[in-house]
Amino acid sequence: MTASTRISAVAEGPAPPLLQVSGLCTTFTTHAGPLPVLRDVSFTLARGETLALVGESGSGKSVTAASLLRLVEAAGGRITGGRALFDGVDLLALPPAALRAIRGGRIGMVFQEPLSALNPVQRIGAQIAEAIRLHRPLSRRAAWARAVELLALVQIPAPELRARDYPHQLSGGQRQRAMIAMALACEPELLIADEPTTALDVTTQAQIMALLEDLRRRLGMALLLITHDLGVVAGVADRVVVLYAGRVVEQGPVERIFAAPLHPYTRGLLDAVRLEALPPGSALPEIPGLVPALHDLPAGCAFAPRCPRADARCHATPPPWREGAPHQGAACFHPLPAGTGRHAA
Amino acid sequence: MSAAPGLARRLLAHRQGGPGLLLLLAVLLLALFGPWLWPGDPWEMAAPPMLWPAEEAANPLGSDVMGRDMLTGLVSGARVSLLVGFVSTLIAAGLGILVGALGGFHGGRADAALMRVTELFQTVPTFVLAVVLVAVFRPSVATAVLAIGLVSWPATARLVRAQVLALRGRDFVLAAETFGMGTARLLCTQILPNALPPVVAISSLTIAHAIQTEAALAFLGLGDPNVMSWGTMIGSGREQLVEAWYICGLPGLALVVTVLAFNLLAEGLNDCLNPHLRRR
Amino acid sequence: MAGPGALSGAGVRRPLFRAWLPWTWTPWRWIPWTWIPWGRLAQLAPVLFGIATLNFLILQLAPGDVVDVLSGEAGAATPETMAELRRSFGLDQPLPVQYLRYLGHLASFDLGHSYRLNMPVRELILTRLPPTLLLMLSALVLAVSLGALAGLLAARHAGRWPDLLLSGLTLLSYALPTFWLGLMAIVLFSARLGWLPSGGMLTIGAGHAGLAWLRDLLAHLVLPALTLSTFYLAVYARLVRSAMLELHGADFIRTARAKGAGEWRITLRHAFRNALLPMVTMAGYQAASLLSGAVLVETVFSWPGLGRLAYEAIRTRDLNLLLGILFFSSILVVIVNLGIDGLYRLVDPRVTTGARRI
Repeated sequence: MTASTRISAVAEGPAPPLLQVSGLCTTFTTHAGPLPVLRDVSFTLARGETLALVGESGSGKSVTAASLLRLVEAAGGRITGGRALFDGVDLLALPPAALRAIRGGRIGMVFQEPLSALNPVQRIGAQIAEAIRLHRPLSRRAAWARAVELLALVQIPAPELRARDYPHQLSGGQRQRAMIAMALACEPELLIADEPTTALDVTTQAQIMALLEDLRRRLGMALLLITHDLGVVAGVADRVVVLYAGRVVEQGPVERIFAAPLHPYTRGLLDAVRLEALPPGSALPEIPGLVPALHDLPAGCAFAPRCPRADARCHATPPPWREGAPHQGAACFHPLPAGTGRHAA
Repeated sequence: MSAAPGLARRLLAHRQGGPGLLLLLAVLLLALFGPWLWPGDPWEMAAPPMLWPAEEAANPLGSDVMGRDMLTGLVSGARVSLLVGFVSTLIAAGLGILVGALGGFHGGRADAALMRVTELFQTVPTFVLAVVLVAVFRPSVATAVLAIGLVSWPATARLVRAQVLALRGRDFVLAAETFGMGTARLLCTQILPNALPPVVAISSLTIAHAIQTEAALAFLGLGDPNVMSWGTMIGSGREQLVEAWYICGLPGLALVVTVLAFNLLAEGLNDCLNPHLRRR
Repeated sequence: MAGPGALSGAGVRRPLFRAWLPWTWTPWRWIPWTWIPWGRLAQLAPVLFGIATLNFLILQLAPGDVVDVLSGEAGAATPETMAELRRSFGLDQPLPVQYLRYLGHLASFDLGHSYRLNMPVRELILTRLPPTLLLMLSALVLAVSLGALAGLLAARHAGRWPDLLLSGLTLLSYALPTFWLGLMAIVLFSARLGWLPSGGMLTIGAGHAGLAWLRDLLAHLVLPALTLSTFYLAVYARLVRSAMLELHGADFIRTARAKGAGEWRITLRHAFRNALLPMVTMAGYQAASLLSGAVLVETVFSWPGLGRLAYEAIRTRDLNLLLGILFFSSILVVIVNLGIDGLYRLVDPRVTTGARRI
């Protein structure tokens, strides 16, 4: 009942979704044996939509992103199951050449740490031009000119000079802008941004998010935003998928998730960022306990050991997916009653 | 130390250390018991010249252009190589530890000056320096040992310096210092024992290099004229290289095996003595 | 273009030129000021001074002096003539004076006289320098290119047979004495197979010109250069292998993959370009050892370079010449190191262009 019902529940719109991930499983091989990092991850993403994938570190958000473009394969991971239909084509079953055409062509990707994600010995312009020339039959000169245009598009001042710079010569924010320019090189239909602001300082974070949102609207892209920062999510996302220990525990429209979360874990995440709503003097709310080790997962709900609502059933069997509200669902035996989300602020 | 048998066992089990230890043992046995098994003077012309190996039972490895027995020569060469290798490395390790420990411990000006000297010795082509030293002071086993020792210490010095620098600020050293321990005692009892394991590993490499250097010196005619070493044999066989390549070939093979043994041993020691890399 | 900070400090230091040059012809901007390792150049003096002192020490510690050698050669010499000779060489002066004189000579690049060959040491060395440079450079090029190739292959097939083969060969070549390897190469390739000449630099008396001359030179060069390069080849192969494996998981490699680059493009354009950096560093460390190796290889292959000259000097006990070679080859190492420094600036933009944070 899991995958198919879930998809039909959230994708009842008229147009078929741009990206439809179902039952995605990814395993990493380690010295201690296989490590199931993703277990049955499913979600959909419509054209032009912004979907936020949230969760603590280790929940599998980044691996989900890397699995879609099959970047995990070079990092020792293996996709063991599921499908990822991108415009009707399964990314997980594509032959290498077709996959390369999609990577950087129809799907662009922005990484977390722009300094290490850019080649240190190649000029910024050359790196962007390479991304163009891998997919478009442009001359070197034309690709370079386009790279400069892209740098202007991401609002880097003096783009023709910065194109000649090396990554270490730019500031952190400019590097991330350059990284975004590179991901946008071929006007992708989907942009995957893997924690794009984590390595930046707070003011720069806001600028980069505003830029991403602006570009998404102007270019009509869909955006898959991976983040642990719910503050970021509230501003830009249309819908939210919450991951915990490699599973989707809740998903729904952003205002529903914030106003009336179903899963106790989502609730915990929200409480942890909603400091302004706290009465003065009270202790900082945090979710007790730690994310379970992936090679030693409990038999039932992975969140049960930390959950205030857990009972014997939660510890014994994995909870099935349940619709709690229109377009909103969670994998929980004891979903929170509606109206216990956002306190009056 | 009580750790020695444990170390030997770990080394034997090591992928490179095991073969290295066994090869080294073979060369050691040859050097120790060879003269007893195949007695005779390596310089004595005891056979017809240029006998190929396995041609005569009395000279299983043949004879050279002067009719000197190859096997006797190889045994003598093993003794020379090991002797020169060990003693010159002892000198190099002593110098290196002294320079590195003093520089690393005191820092500042003394360190800068010592590092300058170390750099100087790393800039000068060491083999050319060794050649000059041996040539100037007349070739003999003693000058070869001294010259090789004198040019081989910089790597050890740099290693020891780095180790001492790292250990200098550790709590147990600072604690000993606050008890009023003097520099020499502090170095000898607290720092050096902890800095030594990698020095042992690098010394195995130094031995390998020293053996090669000695052979090269002897090959150039800078060997002790009274001692038959592998380099001497190779040098004297050059004239007949085409007709009787085994005269150069056999001592060279012995060199390869010995140097390989020490190189492998160095890898093994490096892994087995490094507490951070020890297998679970 | 005169964009802010677009160029190095060179332009800033010379505002005067701006004033009287009517157009923007700025030749000094083409001089790569920042490539010139000023710091290293400044370090040159103490190193040279140290080597000179070392030479002087050896000379002083040597049993006997030039006069002993000369008179021993000439047969019976009266103590008077020997004292006369010593005075003419300045050997009767106090040590500090001798030391200063010696430094003065070296500073004017006067390396003394070879009494055996009856020629100034400097001339002897300079005529033998080009073959040595040719040999060292060829060996280095061979080692870098073949080593890089072997390392690339090993990294791509890590853990499988090409990798295991390479690690076996690496271990072996670490243990091979260069001179012995050269001898065995002569046995195999010139005596048995007859493919290549066994020694020398050019066929004597052949009088080749043009292409034939070049081909003759190359044929003579192959064996010595390969012999000399073997050890370094192994070093580079190992270095490139580990650098490539380390870079395999690097973030920018993942970025390249996400851009849609193919595996070969990733390997060569992105990973290998970065793996060059440790290789260049390593080449700097090895300049001195390469020169030491050249001495032996030249001896084996009768290559008419510095090493062969050193061998001749050993045979004839020509100490002055030997010391001259030691001094000169040390300078050569320093110069090579400077060159490598410049090369590093070329392959790693992070050295020259300081971080500009905004």
